[in-house]
Amino acid sequence: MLNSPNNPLKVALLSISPHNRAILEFFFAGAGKKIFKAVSVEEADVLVVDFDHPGAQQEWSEQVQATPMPAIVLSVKESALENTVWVPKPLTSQALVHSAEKIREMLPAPVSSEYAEVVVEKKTGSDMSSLRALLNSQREDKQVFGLSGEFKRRPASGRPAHRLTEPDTEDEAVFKTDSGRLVSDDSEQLIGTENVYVPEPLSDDEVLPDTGAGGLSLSQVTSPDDTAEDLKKQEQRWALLCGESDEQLKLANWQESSRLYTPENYLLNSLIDGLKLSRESRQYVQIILEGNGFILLMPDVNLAYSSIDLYSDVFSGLCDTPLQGGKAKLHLPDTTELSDLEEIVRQDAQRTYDMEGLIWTVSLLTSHGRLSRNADTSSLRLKHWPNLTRMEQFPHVMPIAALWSQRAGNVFDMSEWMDVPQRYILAFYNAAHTLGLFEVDQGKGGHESKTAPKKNRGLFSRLLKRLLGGGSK
Amino acid sequence: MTTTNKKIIFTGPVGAGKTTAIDAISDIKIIKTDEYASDMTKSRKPQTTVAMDYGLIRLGENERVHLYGTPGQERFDFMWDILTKGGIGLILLLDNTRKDPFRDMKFYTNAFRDFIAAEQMVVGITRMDLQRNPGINDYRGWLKELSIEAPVFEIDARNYNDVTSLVKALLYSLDPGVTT
Repeated sequence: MLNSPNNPLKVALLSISPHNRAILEFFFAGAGKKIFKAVSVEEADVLVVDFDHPGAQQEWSEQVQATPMPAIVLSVKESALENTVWVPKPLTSQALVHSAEKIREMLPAPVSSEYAEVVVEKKTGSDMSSLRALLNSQREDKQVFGLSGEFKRRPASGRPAHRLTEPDTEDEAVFKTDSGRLVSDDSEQLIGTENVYVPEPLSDDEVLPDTGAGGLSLSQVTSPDDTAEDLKKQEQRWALLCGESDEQLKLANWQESSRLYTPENYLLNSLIDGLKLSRESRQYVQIILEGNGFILLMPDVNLAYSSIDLYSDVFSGLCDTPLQGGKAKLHLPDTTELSDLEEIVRQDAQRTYDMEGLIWTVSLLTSHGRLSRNADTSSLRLKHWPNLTRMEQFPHVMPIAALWSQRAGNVFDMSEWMDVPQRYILAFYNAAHTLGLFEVDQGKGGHESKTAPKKNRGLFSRLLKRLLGGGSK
Repeated sequence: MTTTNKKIIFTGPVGAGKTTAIDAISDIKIIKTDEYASDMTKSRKPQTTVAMDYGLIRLGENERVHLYGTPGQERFDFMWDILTKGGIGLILLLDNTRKDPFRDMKFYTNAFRDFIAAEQMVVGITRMDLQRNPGINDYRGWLKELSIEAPVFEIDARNYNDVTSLVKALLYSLDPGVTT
């Protein structure tokens, strides 16, 4: 047995209620890591038992008869059994730390030279300094398992007291000390509780070894798609999806614009009809295209297969050219055909798309940044965000979705509210409308942004820039 | 000199991909508190988070966004209130292969209801490649039933772009006017 404050107490957990076991696990994994270590009964120096748990007393009794050792007893009622330390419930870290201090006194003293110094120090009352420091820090702020307690432990270990500089008035702040180390000022941002331990945010000292000497700065972040060629391809794709026009349509005269289209004249219409048919019949529907191409709609799995590459010029041409009669036929495959089609899909799985994703892309390629002649100019609200991770994205798509879900308006209102080229708003409207993601505003006005606008805009902006940059790791 | 700190919390049931998602975007090797599972969790994954996962995104010298992953087991719900303190938003990950994802959604949105009401949530559905049903529309409908408005995305927790899309949606939902 190594009864040294330098080593954590080896404890074996006997019968303990799940709730209290969870609390102990948190404590052992965090603030109590240097004080306790959970081990098997065979390796343990100390037992921990929950006397309120059925059968626990008997288990403890049998265990100490077989192998005598002290125990920490968790219980609502006071317990004064020999060779035990009582820890009242509800558990707190302070009580657990005290129990460690007491239980060490019941253990045999270490005999190795390594611990001789500790024994000497014990006579001067400082052998439990790390535990006392923790207790003292916790007494100061009552954040028993909290992070602020964790930070305040540092002065007790011999570091000079930190002088705090003025706080950031807008955001929670961590202050840099004289030594340059980062220290929390209070518990507002950092979490504290009487019952659990939560890992604290890391200081620079702890983070730097993993990220390199200077960490990653925004300028160092590289994007996986940032080659000139990739960017050019991406811009070309956006031009196909959203057009390139800078013309600004206005509510007063939009119907006179040349930037209008009639969705019913395009492949999109056949696709919508096919989708309706497949959902109503709950069967696979094949849309047979001119030149042996086809789209297969699979409603049971919300997937669609296109035999023509969605990113090819052929497919773009199919979408933005008005269809003559018979160029896209709906077909309900029979069992034999279905079997063949399923085999094709299996062998060419990379052309299988999320159903909404396919409709979204076809809608964008069709509208090409124009506005439908049937556009609804009433006040609309986005009732659901598109599933953007499985859809083609284009510039400003997320802020458009966010604003339209919070504020009802038509495309012209949105164009006024947002400082983005209108073609992106029209593109979003066309595609989201095709998917049925809008609802007419009934005067509810949508739900407003929950946080005060601009409160964290600077930080959000930098985080976005970082995320958009990609390649952060 | 001050350092600005913000928190984003990842929650959801065991095996939904919280640890993986944090790992996908964290600048540091995440601090995990995985242990060998000793309860019913064992049937879904051999190791599970018993305390907290912690990751970090550094934004220059004085700004950090801390990423916290909650333990998935419901018996740890007593600590979730504490964890959300100082958080800017919640990312709820739901595993589409679980028996009753709607029940999971109800449980977690209820557990974090005050935080969701005050801040913002986005929902990421994982493992849809293994199990297509329920679909995204079902989740939208369930959220509506619970009177919650939140973006719902299908994600692969291992995919950087998918996870960052969740964070971006969170930020734009909090402030649609934010720009880069």
